[in-house]
Amino acid sequence: MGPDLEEKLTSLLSPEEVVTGPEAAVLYGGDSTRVSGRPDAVVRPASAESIRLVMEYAARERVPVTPRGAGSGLSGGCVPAKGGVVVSTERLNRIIDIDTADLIAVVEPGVITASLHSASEALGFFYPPDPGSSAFCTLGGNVAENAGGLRGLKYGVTRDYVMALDIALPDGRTFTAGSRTRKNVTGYDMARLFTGSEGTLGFITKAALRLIPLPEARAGFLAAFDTLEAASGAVLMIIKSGITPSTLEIMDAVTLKAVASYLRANSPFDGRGDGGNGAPGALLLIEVDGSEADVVRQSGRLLDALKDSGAKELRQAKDTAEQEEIWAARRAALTALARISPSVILEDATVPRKEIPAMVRAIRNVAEKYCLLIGTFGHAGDGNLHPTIVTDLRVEENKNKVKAAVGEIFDAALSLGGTLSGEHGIGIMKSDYMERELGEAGVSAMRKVKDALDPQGIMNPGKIFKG
Amino acid sequence: MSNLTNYSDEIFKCIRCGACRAVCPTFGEELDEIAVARGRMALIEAVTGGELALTDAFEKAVFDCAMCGACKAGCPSGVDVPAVIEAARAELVEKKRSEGLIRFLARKSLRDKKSLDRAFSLMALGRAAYGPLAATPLAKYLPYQYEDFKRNFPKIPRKPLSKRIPPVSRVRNAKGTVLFYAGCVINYVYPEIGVAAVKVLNHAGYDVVFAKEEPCCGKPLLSLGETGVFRSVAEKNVSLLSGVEADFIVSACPTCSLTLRDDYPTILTETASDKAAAISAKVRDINEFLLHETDFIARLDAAEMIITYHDPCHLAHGMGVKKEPRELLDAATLGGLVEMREASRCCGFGGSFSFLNYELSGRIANRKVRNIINTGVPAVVTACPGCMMHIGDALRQSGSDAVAFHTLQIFEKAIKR
Repeated sequence: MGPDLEEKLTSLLSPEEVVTGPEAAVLYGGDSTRVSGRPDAVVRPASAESIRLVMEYAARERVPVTPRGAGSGLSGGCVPAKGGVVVSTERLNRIIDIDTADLIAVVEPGVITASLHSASEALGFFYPPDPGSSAFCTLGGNVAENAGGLRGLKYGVTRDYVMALDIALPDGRTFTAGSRTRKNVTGYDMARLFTGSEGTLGFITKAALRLIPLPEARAGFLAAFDTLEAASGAVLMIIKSGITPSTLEIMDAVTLKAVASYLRANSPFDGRGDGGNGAPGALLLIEVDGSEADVVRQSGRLLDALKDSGAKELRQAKDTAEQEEIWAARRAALTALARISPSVILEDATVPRKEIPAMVRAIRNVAEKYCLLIGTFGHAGDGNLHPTIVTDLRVEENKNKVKAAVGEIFDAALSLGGTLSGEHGIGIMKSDYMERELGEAGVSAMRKVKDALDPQGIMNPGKIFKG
Repeated sequence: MSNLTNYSDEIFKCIRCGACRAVCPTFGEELDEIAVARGRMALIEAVTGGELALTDAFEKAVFDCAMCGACKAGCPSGVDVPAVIEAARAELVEKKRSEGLIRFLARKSLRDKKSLDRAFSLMALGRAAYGPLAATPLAKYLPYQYEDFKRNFPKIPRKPLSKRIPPVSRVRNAKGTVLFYAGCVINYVYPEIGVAAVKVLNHAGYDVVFAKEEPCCGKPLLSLGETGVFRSVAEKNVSLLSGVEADFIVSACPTCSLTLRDDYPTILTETASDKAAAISAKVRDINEFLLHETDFIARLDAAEMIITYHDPCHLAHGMGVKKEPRELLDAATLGGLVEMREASRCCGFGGSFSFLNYELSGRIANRKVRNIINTGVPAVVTACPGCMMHIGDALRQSGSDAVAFHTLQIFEKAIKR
């Protein structure tokens, strides 16, 4: 099927849009889960029309199509689980328009998220979704996975910025879901349906994304606590005080220790990871933004809330350099943990905010039960924690331990009224657990949507649903 | 060491996150997974795992890397990508017996001092004849069939550095002695930078020793996968340098510094590990040395210039030296330093890379040139003679009047008289 398919696609598209040779399958078979499949062919379309042609062909020949952005996902979303064609959007990287009257950016799916950040900020506007991988992930991937990030608490997630999507359906027909208007009740909200659909319903060939004015000021804070429980309690106090920080991140003792040893002199904190008396320490990293006056007001309330909740140490960044230092420490969290062992399993089970202390305890119990090193950090403000398991998956025993531990973390999140995945998606990694959250009826309702739009099952097969 | 399977732990560490896509200069041009560290790691893993043969496309992927090390510097898992690529190249040389003009010339000319002298005098002749020949029908027989022969190589002077400076340059009340390690490009192509280095080091209060018999540091050989010849060159260097009494070994070529500092101790483990380690501990980039070990910055006047600075890859990503040249340059110029966008993104030179794939190397350079031109500043300063040559070439091709300098040329202008 491989060479045949390549030939067919080459005749359909221009030759440089088709990646040939045995290397292609290796290069375009995996993502950041390190789970990989092998596609029969790889194309890198230079236009939306090429994508449409591929879809039309795939529908006729019943060939699976797996959309791919930067391949930086954490759920196996772009892994070609059933072979077929991988359609990689890296060449579709143009920002078509930034409209500062309608406040809309129109982009091709392969635009890097950070490129939209800098292009809109240069004009005084703001695209808030900020996944950890924004320097290299693509907006098409962000929409398909409904990516979140550090600013979810105040600014929401990708979904909250999707206005319209150009879709190539699995039969090769195209339409625009949504519109450039804030108000739109014309039929079903198809733009929302396709957002977060993980490429299982159709191919996003263009996106119109909402922008907002860039906040004029921001202030950064760092607060240290004796225990992770105290820090997660403080999160609730902050929200109850009536302010909504733009970012509210938590880091546990395991993560702090790793970050301190990784950043050494450049770390904004030191030794605090040990917490003393055997009690784990924890840190909150907080940012508020808005108008100058609003930032002053919010900062006052925030400091009061932190003092009331027993912060052992409080620091406000004096300038942008210090602010940058704080966020560099947060961004280093995953890196620092990854240096400990060769394999990193980054989970994103999410709970209602007030259950964070309980979730934190549950994660620690799982770590102890399975003797696993789990560093927990993440977006405490929106209940989206990242328990991160560091291990060596080349050891068979570790594989089993990790599988069991991850299952228990999911169960804990669900029993607290949470969800399997806050921002990474289900993909291959979590499809086994879907029924635990949705029940048989929920999964079957979703499957009916899938079957209606993709009756042949060619769009990103093997994702979301088991098997 | 050339055995690629020795690197399987390093290769496994790559978690495939794709962070290297944001910083990889070849990916920036090609936008193709085959041209980024993650893709190269995946291919190398497929080769070591037996899934993929040593195909031509594999070879091209592995050699189309500028070895800038930006991926390693920004890698969450700290994968030593350049080391893995070097090992993969060595594997290709050994098992696939890949040969080419550049490889042949490098092996023959970089192996010892005598061959080096001969090669560069031939090159001086060739450089002089190249332009005129390229305009004749004989052009098609010339070794580099670059598009329109547009690459600007600097003229190679008849007198290399070794014939311009004495073995020892002393100052009164010296604070110590440094050995100045020139490297081939400064020795043969830009001896004036070497002369400036001696002046600057003397001005900073140090006696300067220069080893006239200095061979190539060997990095081009290592990059080309010629591990055997590299080792013999490295051993020659180690025995030469251990025989010189000096408090520091200072170079104005970051590639030489990085090779002496990091590659010798890891590769000469069997033959000369103690000596290599002792040398490694003394190695400093000249900017690093001037700022941290001397009060040179207080002895500077400001030259009437406004400049922008380009980070050499081996200095910024390889040695982590970014602040030092900036602080010195800011003090050494009246107009100060204007930062360009992507200052630490590769200029595209990459040593042998620019000879093996000048087309790609040139596209990377064009991005650098755009960033330089956008500053509006007429002078770009860098701390590497290779970057200086490559950026100078690209600037000239772009029609810009901006000029590329080495930091030492600025310091020389700024020395208090």
